Parts: sequence; structure tokens; C-alpha cells
Amino acid sequence: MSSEAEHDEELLQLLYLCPIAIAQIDGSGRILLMNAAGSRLLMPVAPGGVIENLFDLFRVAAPEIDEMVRRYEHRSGRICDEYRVLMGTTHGVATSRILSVTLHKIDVDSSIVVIADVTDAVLREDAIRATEARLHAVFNGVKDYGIATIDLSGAVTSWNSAAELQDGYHIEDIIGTQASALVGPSGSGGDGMAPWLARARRDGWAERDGWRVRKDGTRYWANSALSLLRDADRKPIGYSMITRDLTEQRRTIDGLRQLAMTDSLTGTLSRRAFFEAAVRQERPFREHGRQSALLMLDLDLFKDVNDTYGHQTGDEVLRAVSAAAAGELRSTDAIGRYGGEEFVVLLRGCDVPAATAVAERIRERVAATVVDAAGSDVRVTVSIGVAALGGGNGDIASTIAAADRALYEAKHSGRNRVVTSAHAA
Amino acid sequence: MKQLEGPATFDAPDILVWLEAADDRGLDGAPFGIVAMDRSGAVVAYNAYESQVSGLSAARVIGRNFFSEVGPCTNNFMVAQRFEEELMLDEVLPYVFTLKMKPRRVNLRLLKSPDARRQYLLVATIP
Repeated sequence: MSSEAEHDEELLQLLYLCPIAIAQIDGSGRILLMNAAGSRLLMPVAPGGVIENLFDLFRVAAPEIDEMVRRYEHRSGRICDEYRVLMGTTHGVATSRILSVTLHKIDVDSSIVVIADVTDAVLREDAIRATEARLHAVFNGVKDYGIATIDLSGAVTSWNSAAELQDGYHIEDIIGTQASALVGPSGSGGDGMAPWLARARRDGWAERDGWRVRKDGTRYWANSALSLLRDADRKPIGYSMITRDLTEQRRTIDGLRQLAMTDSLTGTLSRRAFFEAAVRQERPFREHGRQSALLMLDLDLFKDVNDTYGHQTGDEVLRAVSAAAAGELRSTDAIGRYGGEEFVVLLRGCDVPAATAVAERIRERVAATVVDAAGSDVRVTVSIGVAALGGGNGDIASTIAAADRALYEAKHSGRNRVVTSAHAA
Repeated sequence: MKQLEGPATFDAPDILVWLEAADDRGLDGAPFGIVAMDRSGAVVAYNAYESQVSGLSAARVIGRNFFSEVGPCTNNFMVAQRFEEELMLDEVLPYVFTLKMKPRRVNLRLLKSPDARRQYLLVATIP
């Protein structure tokens, strides 16, 4: 065999054995060349077992790959880098693979594709991330327990958000600081923390009821439990400290609760808060035989706004619409974000004709509202369904269903209109 | 053992008998690819047809593990794992080989039997 032929064979073998899939495609996705790893990776996921066109291979799992290649305007360059695609297979769910796809255009009608199976790596990453998220949720999710760790020298090494609220120290302020600052001097000015840490070190744990000193100098009565932390060789490495505020002053926590009641984007009530608070407060009206009404309000063609102007403008529009609607309400009414671009309004002590008039005013006010989106004026309209609440059983679910049906009718009869439900609760 | 006349066809029902009896020259006469392996997957025979379509000479692949070092496109649960896990195999499987880097549709025939001294992968290219 000539040495040139032998060289060619070596080259071929190298390509066959390359553990990463390499292929060359033309502008229409047709696979011109591919190595063995390509076939190994793609055969199990190829629809119909056909490997001829890359775009067809990814048609279901990642149709955007076709787009990316066709829309890439340069003569050469990186089209996508380690783009992750989840491929189902015809061999069952457990065999689904996550492929990492890199596309590099090398000429007008030619691109190189590199594909690697990253399923195992992704699953490992996900497991780590899930564990971290769980720990984070536990660490920061508990609102009533301040959790901190302290090293053997007595310095704070970690600090959760409940501890921030309890003691007033931000995490940046407290990390590295001596934990003795948290309890203040005991008796004649000594370190109030030291004997307690010593006890935990000796017995493995210690508990203490006593005053804690916040950053601003104010005090609160707290129960704290200290546990000795050990490494894998049972060598002490520090302490964990869990603190519970025993005073009734939970202003900060109340503040958080208030926050949870409000929709962060529009400032209207959150869906849960709307139904918990607003509906509860409506009861006295009903008990006095007065009717209330519910409006379901939905932005028309909101998806077009997002698609045309982007989500930031979409958010602006949501704020403007909720503000316009709120501008037509009395202080005894309530507005909440029901979800997405849908709002729900409770008009207390308001019969259906009056509620319909309010809805009509909201509709007009929204239609007259102009949102500025980087120079262009965005106008939107709303469709509103009106239904009566109270009177009979006052079942909130059936009222919402009725208002929803009226809203649906408003949408289907041309949008930008108010439809009143015939339903009587 | 019964001797078959001339090279067998890809889908001959009793092909395993012929393969077991054939010497290298006999395998070279077959109009389809033949890879003969021992139980561990090491290549013991690589016929002329397979050598011609893959571009790899028999000398280069003999003794290597077929699934990991010669034809890694088969190193998945569809082919390699079947050979590994099943005692008895005779199955035709449509597949895509990348012969000389060109994807080509092929039919694979997976052959394994506890009585046979070798296991075989037959490769018929689909025109």
C-alpha cells in the first residue's frame, strides 16, 4: 500500500473514532459528510431512522435550528454554540437524550456541525442545582427562624434572610463579625457569647433564652439553639445557631406578608389576596341585602404587543391598564391581577347596571391611554365581562365563571367591549 | 457440518452455518459486508466488501474491539448493547453507517448463538 493511501486510511480512521459527532451540511440541511459518532448519537433519536437532513432530524425537537442557519447572514462564522436540544426517541422516555449542538458556517452553502451527548452532564448539573435550590429554600424560606453558622473563633460564617429580618444585619455586615455582637455584653461587660459557645463545644449543643441585640441597638427576647458542627472525621468545625423571636413584634414579617399580597408588576392585589381579602370584605354588603358585581377584564391582542414591542413594553402596558382601571374605582372597590393579562375587579355594593357603567368607563379610559414604547405610541383595548355577586348564594366561583363567559362573548363579538352576564347569583 | 455452495445471500436463513464454516477467502467472496468478532467484540475477520466500503483494510481492524475502535456508530443500545446482553440474536435492523464519512442507509444483520465460535455483523448497503 502506498504511503499516501495509508495516510488517507489513517485520517479516515481518526474521523471514524473521533468521540464527538462531526458533520458537514449544506444550506438546506442536507448531511454531506458525517463521522461514526454522528450516526451513533443520531440513530436512536432520528425520526424513522433516517439521517439525511439535519433540519429534518431536529424538526420536532428544535425547529429553530433550521431558522438559525437560514437567517445567519455572514458568509462564515459561529451560528450557535453548544445549543442544547432535548431529543425524544422512539425507544421510550428513559432514552431521551440532551444533545449539545454547535454550528459553524464555513462557506456560503456549507456549515460544520459538532454534536455531543451531554445528557449525563446535564442530569448531574440539574441534581446539583436542585439540591442547592432545596437547601436555599429551606435556609431562606423559613421566616420565623434565623439561621446562622459560626466558626470556632466565634465569627459568623453564614446568615439567612430570616436572621437579617430578626437582627437587622445584612449578610454583608455580619459575615466575619464576632457573634458576640448579637447578644451584647453580659453582666459586667464580658462576652455574653463565649460561655455559651464553650458549653456547645463541650456538650455538642446548648440552648439559651435571652435578650438579643439588633444592629440598631434595640433588643428582643429570643430562644436560640446552638449545635456543634463536625466534619467527616468528627473534628469540630463550628456551630449552627437557630434563633426564634419570642416577642410579638413581627412588623418586618407583616411587611413581607403585605408584599406577598401585591402583584409586583402592577401593584394590584395578587390573585390570592384578592380572593382572600376582597371577597371576605364584601360579605357585610351582601348581608345587608346589597348586591355586588365582579368584572373580568382582559387585554385585547396582548400577545401582539409583546411580539411587536417586546416584554418590557408589555409590562408598561399592563401597568398603564391597571392604573387606568384603578382610576375608575372607589376606595371600597378592589382590583387584582387574575393572571397574565387578565384582571378581576370587585365593585362592592354595586348592582349590575351600575357595574356595567363602571366597566364601560374603564373600557373608554383604557382605549384613550397611550403608552410610549421607545418613540412609538402603543394603544390597547380591553374586553370586560360583568356578573352579579351576592344576593342568593353569592358563590364566588360561579360568579367568576359567569363573568368569564361574558368576557369570552365580548372577545368573540369583536373585542373592546363590555358584555353583561345574564347569570344571577 | 453441512457445507453451503458459494457465498451466501444477506438474508439466507441458515447463513450462520455458512459463516462458521467459511474461511477468509470465502467471506471475501460475499456481496455484502461481514464483520466476524469473538465474544468480547474483537474483530477476527473483516471481509473485502466491508473493507472496500469503509475504506479500512482488514489489517488495520483485526484484533480491535469493533464497537469502540472500528465502528463506533454501532456503540449504542441499538447494536452493541444487544450483542452484549443477548445470548441469541438473528435480527435485521435498518441503520445508517457513515462509510468514508458519507451517511449511507444500510441493513444490519445481528447474528449470535451460543453454539457459534464467532458472532457476526452483516452489512448490506441499500442502493
